[in-house]
Amino acid sequence: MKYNRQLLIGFSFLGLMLTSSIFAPLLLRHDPNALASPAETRHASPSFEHWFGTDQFGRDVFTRVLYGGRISLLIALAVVICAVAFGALYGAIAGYLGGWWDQIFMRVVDALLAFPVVFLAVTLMAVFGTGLKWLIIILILSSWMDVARVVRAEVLSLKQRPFIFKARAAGLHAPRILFYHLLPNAFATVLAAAILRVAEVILLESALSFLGLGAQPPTASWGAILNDGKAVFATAWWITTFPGLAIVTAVLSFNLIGEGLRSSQSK
Amino acid sequence: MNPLLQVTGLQTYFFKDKKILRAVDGVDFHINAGETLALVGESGCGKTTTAFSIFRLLPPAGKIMGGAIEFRGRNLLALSEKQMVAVRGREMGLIFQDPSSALNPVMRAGEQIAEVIRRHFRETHRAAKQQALALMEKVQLPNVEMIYDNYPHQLSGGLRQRILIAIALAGKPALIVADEPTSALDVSIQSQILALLKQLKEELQLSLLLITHDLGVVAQMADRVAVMYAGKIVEEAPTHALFTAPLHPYTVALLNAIPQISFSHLGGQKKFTPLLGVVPDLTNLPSGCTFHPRCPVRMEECQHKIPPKFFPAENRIVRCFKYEAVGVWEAKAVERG
Repeated sequence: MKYNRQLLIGFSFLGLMLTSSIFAPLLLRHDPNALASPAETRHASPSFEHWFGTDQFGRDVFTRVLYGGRISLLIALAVVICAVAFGALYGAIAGYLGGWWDQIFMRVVDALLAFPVVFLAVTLMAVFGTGLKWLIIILILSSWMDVARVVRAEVLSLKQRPFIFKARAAGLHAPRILFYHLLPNAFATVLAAAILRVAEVILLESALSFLGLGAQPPTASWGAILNDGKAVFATAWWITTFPGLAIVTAVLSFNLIGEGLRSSQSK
Repeated sequence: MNPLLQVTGLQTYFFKDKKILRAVDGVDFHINAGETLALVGESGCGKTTTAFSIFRLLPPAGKIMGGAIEFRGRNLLALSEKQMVAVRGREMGLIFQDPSSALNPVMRAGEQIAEVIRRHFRETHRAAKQQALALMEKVQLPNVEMIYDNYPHQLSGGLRQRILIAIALAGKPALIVADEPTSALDVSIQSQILALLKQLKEELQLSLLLITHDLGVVAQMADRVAVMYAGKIVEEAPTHALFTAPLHPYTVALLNAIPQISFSHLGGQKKFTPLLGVVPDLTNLPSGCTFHPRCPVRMEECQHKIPPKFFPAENRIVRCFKYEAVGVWEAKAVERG
């Protein structure tokens, strides 16, 4: 196997972030939500005690970034798993049926893609309320269409392959062909698309949390920490800079892995 | 006795960019129970489309426009898609040209046989596996237990083709359609696969529709031969008669184009005559007899009139005006007899 630098860098950063987030309660001495009583520990700049400084309530930013990672990454992965499950099924059915059904299925996707996601989220949350539950639902609703498109395209090309012809000539039923012959062969493409999707969901989740529509205080997510620090950026740059870097690193890692997988397939 | 399969006036067209491609244009043939019919012709003459039409499995652009396919007493073209799904695999099996792409690359080889058995006979997983293993032994695969769990890329071309034959047989069909079953294989493997097909055909009393461009394969395998050119069957005859006394100029040209193994010509003497030209563009067929632009013995009327079927001798059909006189006479004789 050829040495793939994109995959190596992507997996290294991602591994670091995932393990530090998962094991955050074991690694850290500070409570992410504990308020500091003495006023002097608020807005403390980065030091040996507080690596990323403290925020306006004296909470340790390093601790909050790691705990925020648990929320942000968990939401992103959960959303993408649901979106891929639904999107892959939808796209595969559209591609397999073809013809008019395909047209109808895909025009629905086009219509949904035409909606501006943030606008849609703000409207829906104004109606149904904010919070993680609604955030996740809205993220799923806005993420499955891309997966459906990718899977449909893949199924359309796989459908012409001789082994699908063989399966049909043997009299196999459509669901059997779909689930045992088409989808398993589309797996690699779906995986690469899904991983690229994770990066976009992280960004979207951060944006919505930054707008106050996602994780509610005191729960930390990367977007929410950014929101905490935005008013004091000029005096306490560390509150916004470090969660921002975390977002950039996570998005970059997922993009590198997704691109790396895609290029290793096409070789 | 009625034939097992009777195809009459089959027309399969492809519609692409407002053009009509007449891949199969009025094809008649029949196959009796236990018989092997070879369908012969150059690439692009509509052989494979004929085969896929029988299964009613055509790409989206292809459509069966007319004719009838009578199989075991019913017209397959009149069946619903649901009824047709029950015919495929169970009553007729298909063997493919290229064994390397006709197997699902991410499914174990044996499972691809067992799934067909489960589909048609409602067997348990365990029973289906046992039957698949028995079938794999029947197609003379070695180490069946091991090959059952192999993925297609771990197997050689010959082994893969045996797996595909097993898949085609898994539904215990009465008719096997083999589309160029040996073209993608090495010569040594070719003869093994042909011998296997012949043996299985005798043993299981199958009928075989063998589609090939290789006249060597035809001579070895077929009872009767139908020669196809540009979507039509131009000559049909028992194998021996076709090789000893070909009638249609196209058949003659095909036979002359076979390179003979001979060492006497090392002085430079040519032992075969290549057939010049190519199969005409099926979207823009020549007028009259579609073979006339390449025909060495063409006559005036060939350019304007489409030759009908003539019956110059018993069991022989030819579409060529050269046999007009004989043909009419013979057809009358048949009527009287």
